[in-house]
Amino acid sequence: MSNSEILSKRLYIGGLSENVSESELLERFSRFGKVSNVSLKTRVDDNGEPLKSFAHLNLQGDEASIKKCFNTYQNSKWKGSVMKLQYAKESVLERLQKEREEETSANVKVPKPESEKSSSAEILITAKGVPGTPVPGKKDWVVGKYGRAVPVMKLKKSYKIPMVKHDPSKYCHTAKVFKDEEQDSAPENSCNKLTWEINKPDSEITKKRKGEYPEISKPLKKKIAVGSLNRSEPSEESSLLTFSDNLYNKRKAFLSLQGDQDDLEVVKIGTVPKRPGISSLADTSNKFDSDIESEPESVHPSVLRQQNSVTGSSGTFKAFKRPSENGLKPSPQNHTRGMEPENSSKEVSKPLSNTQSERNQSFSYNSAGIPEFKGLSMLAGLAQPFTSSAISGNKGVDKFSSTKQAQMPISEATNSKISKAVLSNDHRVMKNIGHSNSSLTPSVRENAEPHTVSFAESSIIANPVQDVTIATPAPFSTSREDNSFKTSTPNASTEIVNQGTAHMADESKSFRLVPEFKGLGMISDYNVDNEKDSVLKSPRKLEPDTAIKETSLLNKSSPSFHAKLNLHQEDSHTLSDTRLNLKLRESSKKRKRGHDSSSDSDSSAGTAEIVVRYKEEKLSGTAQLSKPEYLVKQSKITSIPSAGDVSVDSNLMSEFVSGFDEFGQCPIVAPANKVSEDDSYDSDLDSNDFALVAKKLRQKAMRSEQGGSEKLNSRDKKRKDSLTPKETLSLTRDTKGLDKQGMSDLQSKLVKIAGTERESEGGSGHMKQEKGGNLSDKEKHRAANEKRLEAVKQQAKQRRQQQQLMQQALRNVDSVESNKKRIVFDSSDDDSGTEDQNVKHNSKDTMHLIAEKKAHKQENTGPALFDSSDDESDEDDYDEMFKSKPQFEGKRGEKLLKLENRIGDKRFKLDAKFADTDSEEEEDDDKDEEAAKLEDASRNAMDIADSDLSSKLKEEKNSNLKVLEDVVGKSTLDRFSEKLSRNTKKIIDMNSVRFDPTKVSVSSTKLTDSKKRETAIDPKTGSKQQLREASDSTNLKKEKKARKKEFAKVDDVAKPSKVNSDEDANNDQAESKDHSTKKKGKESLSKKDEPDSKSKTNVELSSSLLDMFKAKAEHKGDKDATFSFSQQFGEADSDEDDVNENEEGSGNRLFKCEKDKTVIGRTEPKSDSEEDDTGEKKRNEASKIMEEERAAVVTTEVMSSSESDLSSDEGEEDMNISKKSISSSTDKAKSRIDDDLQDAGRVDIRFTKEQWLEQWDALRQNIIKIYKKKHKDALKKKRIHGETKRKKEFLKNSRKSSKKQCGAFKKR
Amino acid sequence: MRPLTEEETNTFFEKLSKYIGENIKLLIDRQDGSYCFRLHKDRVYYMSEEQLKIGSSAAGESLLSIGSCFGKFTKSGKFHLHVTALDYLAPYAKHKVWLKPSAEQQFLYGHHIMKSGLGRLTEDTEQYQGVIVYNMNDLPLGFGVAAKSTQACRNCDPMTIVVFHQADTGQYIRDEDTLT
Repeated sequence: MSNSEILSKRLYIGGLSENVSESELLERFSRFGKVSNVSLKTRVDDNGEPLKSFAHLNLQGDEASIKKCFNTYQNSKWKGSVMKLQYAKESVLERLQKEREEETSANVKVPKPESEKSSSAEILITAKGVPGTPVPGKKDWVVGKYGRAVPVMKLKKSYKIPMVKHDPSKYCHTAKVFKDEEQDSAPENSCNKLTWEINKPDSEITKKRKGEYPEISKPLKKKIAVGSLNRSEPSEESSLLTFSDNLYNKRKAFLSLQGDQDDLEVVKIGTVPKRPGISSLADTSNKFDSDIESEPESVHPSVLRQQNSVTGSSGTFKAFKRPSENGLKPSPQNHTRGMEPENSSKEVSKPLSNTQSERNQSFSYNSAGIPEFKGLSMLAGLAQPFTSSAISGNKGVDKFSSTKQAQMPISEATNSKISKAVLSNDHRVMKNIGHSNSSLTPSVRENAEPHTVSFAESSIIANPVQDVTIATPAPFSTSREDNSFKTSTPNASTEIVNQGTAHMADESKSFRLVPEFKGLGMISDYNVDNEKDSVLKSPRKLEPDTAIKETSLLNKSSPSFHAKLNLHQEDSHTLSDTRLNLKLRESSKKRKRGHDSSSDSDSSAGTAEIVVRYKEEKLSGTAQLSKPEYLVKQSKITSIPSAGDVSVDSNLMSEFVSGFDEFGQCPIVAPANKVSEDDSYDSDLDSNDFALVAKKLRQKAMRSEQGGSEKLNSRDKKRKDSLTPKETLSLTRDTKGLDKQGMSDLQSKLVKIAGTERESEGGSGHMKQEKGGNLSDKEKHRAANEKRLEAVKQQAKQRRQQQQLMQQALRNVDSVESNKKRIVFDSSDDDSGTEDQNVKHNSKDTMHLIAEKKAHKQENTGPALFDSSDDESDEDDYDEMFKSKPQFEGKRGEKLLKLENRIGDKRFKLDAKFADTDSEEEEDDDKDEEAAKLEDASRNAMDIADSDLSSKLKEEKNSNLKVLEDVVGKSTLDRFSEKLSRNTKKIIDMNSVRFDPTKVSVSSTKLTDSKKRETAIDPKTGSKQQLREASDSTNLKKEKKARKKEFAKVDDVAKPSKVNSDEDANNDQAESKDHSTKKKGKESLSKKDEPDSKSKTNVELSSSLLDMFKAKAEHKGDKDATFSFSQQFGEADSDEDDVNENEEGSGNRLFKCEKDKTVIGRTEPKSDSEEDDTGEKKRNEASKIMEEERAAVVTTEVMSSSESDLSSDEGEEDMNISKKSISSSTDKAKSRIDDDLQDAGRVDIRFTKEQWLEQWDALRQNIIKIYKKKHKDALKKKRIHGETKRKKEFLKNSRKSSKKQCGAFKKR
Repeated sequence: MRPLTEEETNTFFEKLSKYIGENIKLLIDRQDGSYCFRLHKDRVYYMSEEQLKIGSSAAGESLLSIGSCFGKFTKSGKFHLHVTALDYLAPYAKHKVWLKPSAEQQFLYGHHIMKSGLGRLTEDTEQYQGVIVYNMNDLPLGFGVAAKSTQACRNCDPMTIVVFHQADTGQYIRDEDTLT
């Protein structure tokens, strides 16, 4: 059988009935083969009813049998349903099993199942190719970047392109394949190493950001800096600043100088000469301010100190810095000692003082606290008024020279000079000026010297020519420089000088100048030499350190002095050159002689001569120098040489006109010229009028022109002369001033010499002066001081004058403007004449203007006409006005009229039309009424609104408070408000509280709360009651007194008052134990009361008594006030301790008041005992007073403690009781005397002892009762208060401590 | 210009109480006269009765400012304090912060206060508590909110913010145009 092959088929049998079971199926199909794996399934309805059932089964058998099976059972009916047979798929389980079996079989076949498993991947990975190449054998797999097989995805996109092929090989190759090694090595890197830092050190900002703050060590540095160089510089600068301040705001130039100086300060001594002027200035400043700023000096390091001393010496000696240097060299002690600031300063001051003394000899310099510098300061001060001019000069200078630095000192000097000169001119100022002048000139010289020294270096310095007096032109300086290197003995220098003078005699100044300058340079050198010599010499004479300076000073001073003299001489010399030569020689000789006679050496005399020459040269030089200077400065002056004398005149004139400011020296020059030419000093010099000066100048110029038949040279010379006089002027002025003062014979003589060649006298004079100076240093000092003051005054005056001048000028300017304005606007009313005057130059225009204005006038008259027409019409209206108008008749008419009036416009008139329509008017009336009502209503509403507003606000406030309660919490708010109220009680602004003794109640009310106020008033009312009662009692007394004699009456009144006062005094004394000062015032008050009461004794008894009571009451009131006052102010006027106590706490205050009370209580019986003697009335009074006092006490109590209200009331009651008792006792009063009472002293026996006793017994008990009660109460209160206070404090402390503990705990 | 509603008052006082606590009472209930808060253009102004009277006559549109502005309500109903309130906050301040001189400028330029700039600090200041900022001379400079409590401040880094800036007197210049 081919079909014998056994097949196993899975059969599906469908269409089975529900009742068919598996066993039945098995039974039926087992006929055709082996049946296995039967599974019967029934589909069930939702309700659980079977819909259909089917079965699967495996049938193993032949093909035929299976076919047979199919044939037999296909569509056969079984149990009422048709069976259907089909081949079915293999069952899942079987299939799976089969597959597994297959696999296992395959595994068996292939020995490497694992490798086979991963083979696909391996292959894929190994199959390296260009990324994107499809993996062979696999669809949609491509080779990725790293050889990995990557699936190509097909993505569905929503729009347009339905499918997108995503090839990951093109996009996602970034995945890195880590090999095992890499993976192992990766974790080795710690996380820390992943972050990296730049190794740079942190910047400050980053440091700060990191929270590292640099330590602050500035204060230390500062301390160190004090001693260092750096510090010293600013200090000096500051000193300079102060100097400038002190010396009446010197120019800014000075400040700029400072700046330069700062740079220079550091420079060593060798370089100092470059800026001697500055240094000297600085020095002076230092010294001048020595009292103010002694520190700067002390602060200076040694080097600086050296410099200082150098500069100081140079400053004091003005001219010779080099010598001063030298002077320093020999005195190393200075430095060594100078390490101590004080010493250094002393040393500096010492030489200065020495110099001073020396100077006093020659110049009568002043010695004071800061003596040397007075002269300087004076200079500065003098310079001040002319600062304006100086500034102008400086401006020119600025133009002229490249740098200010060099010029500033010079200009300064010149300025000062000028100022001095002027001063002397006006006020014949004193020697001082002359001295300062002299001192200045050296400084000038000093300035000049630097040129010689450092000319080659600084061409700038060469420029400071500007000054007439000192100017040293570049050429000269050069020449000087050349010559300065020559070392010359005094003789040589003198010779040279002589040479120069000889040249002068030749009158060829241009040539002359050169030799002169040679001399100059030599002089400087010579001076230096001299210095050295003197330094060498000095040790012998004096103590080393001081001596050096002294000698040097002598040398210096003497030359400078000589220079001055010579300057004066030179003035004359300019006039007569030939004479000068002789003069100079002679004078030098004389001087030599003089010097010989004095302790000075010959050399000094020589130097003197030299200096003289020097000055000469200077003057002449300046004369020439001025020329170029002016050339640069002002074209006018430049024109002088070229144009001629006339032009000069005009120019000069114009200059003068142009202003004093522009060329400050000019005005001075003119008089100088005059002086020089005319020898008429007084008139010229005294006249400050510039115009006059100008005139004179012109005259001079004219004269020179007249006489000017000479050559150009001569003319030049003259011009020089004319210019030189500027300096000479100042000098001559000085001399003149000196002359006038008659302070020194010498100078006057010198002046004379200038006028009349009296050399010999001058020499002798000089000598005299020196000696005289030696003798009367102090006098001179005083005189100098006076002069200085005068100078200051003068300065102020001049300043004022200048200001006035300025004002005038300005006023003129204004007035001119106003005039012009008038032309424009005001002319219509004016005559054409004025216009013509104003607008003369363009008459046409004016005519035009006039015409226009006339037209204007006409136009203007237009309205006027109109007005006039109005007037006319008004006149016409008069009739109308008084016409009776029907519309205004009656009540309504009245209203109408009112309305019209209210409108107020004349054009708008209410005629008859408005009058009719009664109804309307009525309506109007109604309307008016309504309006009025409305208005009223609105007003009322407004009022209501106003009142409402406040009420609303209150409501709002309340609501707000409610909200606040919600927000903050009620308890806290309550606590807060409580606290607030407490605080408000405690804190009273004492500034707002004022004690008014006249209004005690006010004070008390002010100081206490409303509650207390009532109580405070109570005692007052009580006192009033007292008064009333008192009046009653006085009536009684009256009756009694009526029986007595009149005199007795008087006595009665007088004595009681006395007694009262005594009592008061007693009480006061008792009280004053506690607050004595306060009570003193009170006592005085009471004493004041006394006379009042006494004066009233003459008046009727009752009234007087009443008055007395009143007075007493007042007095007591005062006491009350004072009590309250004292309490409120913590009894500030009493003991300080008490004050403190009271400030500390109210409890203490209370205690204090308690004390008072007790004291009073103690004193009271005493006073009572006294009172017993005085008598009934007095007793009455006294008791009253006592009551009052008590009341006062009560009030004080009230004030002191808020709780004492009750007690005060009680007190009042008590008082009333006591009063009653007193009154009763007075009624029963009878005479009785007690020994005890007699012992009390001060007994005025008017009543019997019995009377007193009775009264006393009655009273005493009461009083004692009251006081005991009071005392008790007070004590109680005090105790209570103290306890509460203690409690509070304790609570507070405990709270605090607990808090602290808590805090500490928290911290832990 | 109208008085604040209860809700507004609540928010306003809540904010204010962060700075001055119950001292608000002193603002409402003053001894020297009746004062009130008024809302105008979303801003809260503090003024006296007199000022209120005068101000009520002005048209709301044209009224720019009246009394002193305490701050404004934002659109979301929160309240923001302005510097102009500083005058009233400073004297009643509950919690204060004093700045070092170096940090003053920073604060006045509108920066927060870092711990490094902190000179002093009121004890028991809680986080987010309103604080008034003073300089060392007790001049009020502005106010802000404590970013950290006093305790936390002690331990924190110097660069951490301690007080958040809210307002400073520098705003008078910086926000000149917006301050009322």
